[in-house]
This record gives sequence, C-alpha cells and structure tokens, in this order.
Amino acid sequence: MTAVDALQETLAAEHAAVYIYGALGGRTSQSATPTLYAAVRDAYVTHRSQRDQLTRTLRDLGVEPVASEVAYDAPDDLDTPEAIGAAAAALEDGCAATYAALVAETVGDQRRWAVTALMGAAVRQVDMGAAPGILPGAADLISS
Amino acid sequence: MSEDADVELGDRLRLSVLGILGLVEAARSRYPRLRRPLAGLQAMHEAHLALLDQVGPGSDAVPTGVPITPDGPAAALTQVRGAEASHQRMLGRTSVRAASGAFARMLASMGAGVAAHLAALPEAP
Repeated sequence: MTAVDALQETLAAEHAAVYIYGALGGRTSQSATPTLYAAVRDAYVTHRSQRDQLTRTLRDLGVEPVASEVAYDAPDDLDTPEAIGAAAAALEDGCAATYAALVAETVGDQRRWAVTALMGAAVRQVDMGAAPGILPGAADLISS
Repeated sequence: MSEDADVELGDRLRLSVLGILGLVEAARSRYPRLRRPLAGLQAMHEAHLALLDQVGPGSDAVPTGVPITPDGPAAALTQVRGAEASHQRMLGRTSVRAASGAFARMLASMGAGVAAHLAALPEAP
C-alpha cells in the first residue's frame, strides 16, 4: 500500500463517519441527553473537518480524492442513548484502525496528522462510553 | 532515521514506561482510594512494556530514583495525570520520528491508549 492509498482509505472512512454521525445526531436529543448530544455533534464536526483536510491534501498531491458513497449502512436499533453511544464507539474503533494504518504508511506531517487523529478517536471512544483501549487501532498487536 | 535508531528510541521509551509504571504503582500502593481508578493505567503500561520487550531486548538501564507521591490522593492523581500527558506527547513525537512504519504504528497506538485512559480517569479520587 502507498501513502496515497492509505490517505484515500482514510478519506473513505471519514466520508462514512460524517454520514453515520449525521444519522446518530438525528437520533440524539439535546434536551434529554445533552452530554451525548454534544459528544456526537463534536465528533461530527471533527470528522467533517478531517474529511476536508484529507481532500485538500490529496488534491495538493495531484490526486483525485475518493468520493463519498451515496449512502452508508447506519447501525440499527438506535433506540437508547446507550445504543447510540455504542454505535459511535464502534465507528471510532474502525476509524482508529484506519488512522493507525495511515501512521504506518506515511512520514513527516502526514504521519503527525494521523497520530493526532488516532489519539482523538481513542478519546472519543471513551467519551461515547467505551472502556479505554490498551492499543487503540492496533489491537492485533496484543494477540500476535 | 534508521532501523537501528528505532532500537534506541525503543530503549528510551522503555525507560519512560518503566518510570511512569513505577509512579502509578507507588500512587496505588500509598493511596488505597487510587487503587481502582489507576488499575487500568497500570495494566496498560505493563502491556506496553511487554510489547516493547518483544521489539528488542532493550538495555539493562532502569529509571533512577524512587517515584515521589505528594501528600494526598488528589495531589497524587494530579501528578499522575501530568506524567501521563507528558508520556503521551513523547509517544506521539517518537512515532513521527520512527524509521519503521510498523514501529510508528505501535507507538502511536500506545499514545492513543494513554490518551484514552487519561480521558477515563476520574476528576477526583
């Protein structure tokens, strides 16, 4: 895999995250669950910003950024705040794995960006109610 | 940076993990109210140390000095927070400097683990 491939995969993950957080936000109540609402809103804003940064980075490299899918499979059974938090934490877990892969395939500023994104995803997992991981995005290293 | 330089980076990180592990153990030992809140951090650092040991044999160096835990669990928790935040930044910087992509990935993930555990720590003991 090249750095550009990894950047494109990360951008694809950001497209999905923006879509799914939009769906989760629509199921979250600002009055009933203000903390969860704020966490989902902040995560949506972060992923949208990261999507835009990656798009610019790829264009600067002379590469056409991968486009968003028309729709993504949003999680089912989002009837409780716990279910919404769990769905968001699972989404961040997948993003963390993508950022960790990007760390491995890049150097310099691009790697720095990936490291920061990985740390952010790990913290958001906790904010969404998940237990903190020992190796977010690279749990495969524990069992190997 | 060369792969040999990664071995040196790993040695330095091993010392950092040993140092912070000693601090967490001391805080848990001295203040029973911190035993549970810091249990996850200790387990994480032990796992990170085992990973670094797999990467290379490491030097025989050990952190010098005994960890100092200030009076009171609240102050000790504040000290642990500060030390963990510093360790997290070091892991991030070292990941960027690493020659090997796989090593960089491991270090970045270790830093993310520290960040996550910091986020999960209680505000007060």
